[in-house]
Amino acid sequence: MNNFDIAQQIAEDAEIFGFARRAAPIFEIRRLMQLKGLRNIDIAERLGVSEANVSRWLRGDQNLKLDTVHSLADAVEEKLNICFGESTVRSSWAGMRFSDPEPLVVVSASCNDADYGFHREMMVSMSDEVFSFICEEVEANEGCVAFNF
Amino acid sequence: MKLHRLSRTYILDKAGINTAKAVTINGTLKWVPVMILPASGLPDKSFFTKSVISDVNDNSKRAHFLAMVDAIYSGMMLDDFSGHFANSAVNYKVAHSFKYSGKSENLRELKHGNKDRIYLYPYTGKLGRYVFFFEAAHKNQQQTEKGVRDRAEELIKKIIDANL
Repeated sequence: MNNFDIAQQIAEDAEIFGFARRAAPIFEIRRLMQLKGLRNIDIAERLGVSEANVSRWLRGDQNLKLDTVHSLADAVEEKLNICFGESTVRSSWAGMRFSDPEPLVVVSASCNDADYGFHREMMVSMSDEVFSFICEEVEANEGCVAFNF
Repeated sequence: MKLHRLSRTYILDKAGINTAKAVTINGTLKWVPVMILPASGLPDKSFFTKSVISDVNDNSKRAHFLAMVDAIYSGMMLDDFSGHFANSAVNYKVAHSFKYSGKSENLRELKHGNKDRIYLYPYTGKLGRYVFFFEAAHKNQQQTEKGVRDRAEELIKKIIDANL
């Protein structure tokens, strides 16, 4: 691909992935806030900004500066990691990913307790064993945003 | 009734989104995302998958759909994700309520933009916590369509009766 082709691809990707890319770190911040019982006012006080500002940042539709995202990470007392492509850190997370590659399991929910037990067991074993293995095969070229905790 | 565990990758792939370019977020889901399979047992023939294929069919719709899917998968890493969407670009609200077996049941919808929605039903049963993905929709409407409400009511009743 030449630069013109790549430019076209980038423009198309921006159209598809723009909302999600802006929202991804924010939903992580929101999740961490909920886990830690932090409110918008806490973040505002920690960063010395207005609550309205924090509320706007946390909508997830703003094109925030990297500095702002790092400040938000600081406010929830977590480190922000940014990586391009594959990383060793990500490999170790393979078993925790929810972006698994394929529909894995069918759970039956029709008849009796014995049926439930059987299929449930199957789901657990697939999740624990096959799932993490398959995960290693995917997302090799994805960028990622992660907050350690 | 057969259920099928939904991966984010599967959903996005059906919407024609290149999953290799989607942002990765890591974590452990506390809810199991599922869809109900048709009698054939084929995931691609399910109502949810067919609705994704038919209603998420251009890049603008894909952008909204991806934002909603990422938001709900992020939320499913929490025990209670109802507050996760408060004042966010992705709305999460009750789309339809009805009474069944003496209890009020709520069909929920995710909404991003003016028209794009995913209809969901979070359910906690004895086998765990599930988020049922019913259908994706792209419609400019104020109220949930009767067809959506009727289909959802029927499915929710089946889920409750199955006593998962």
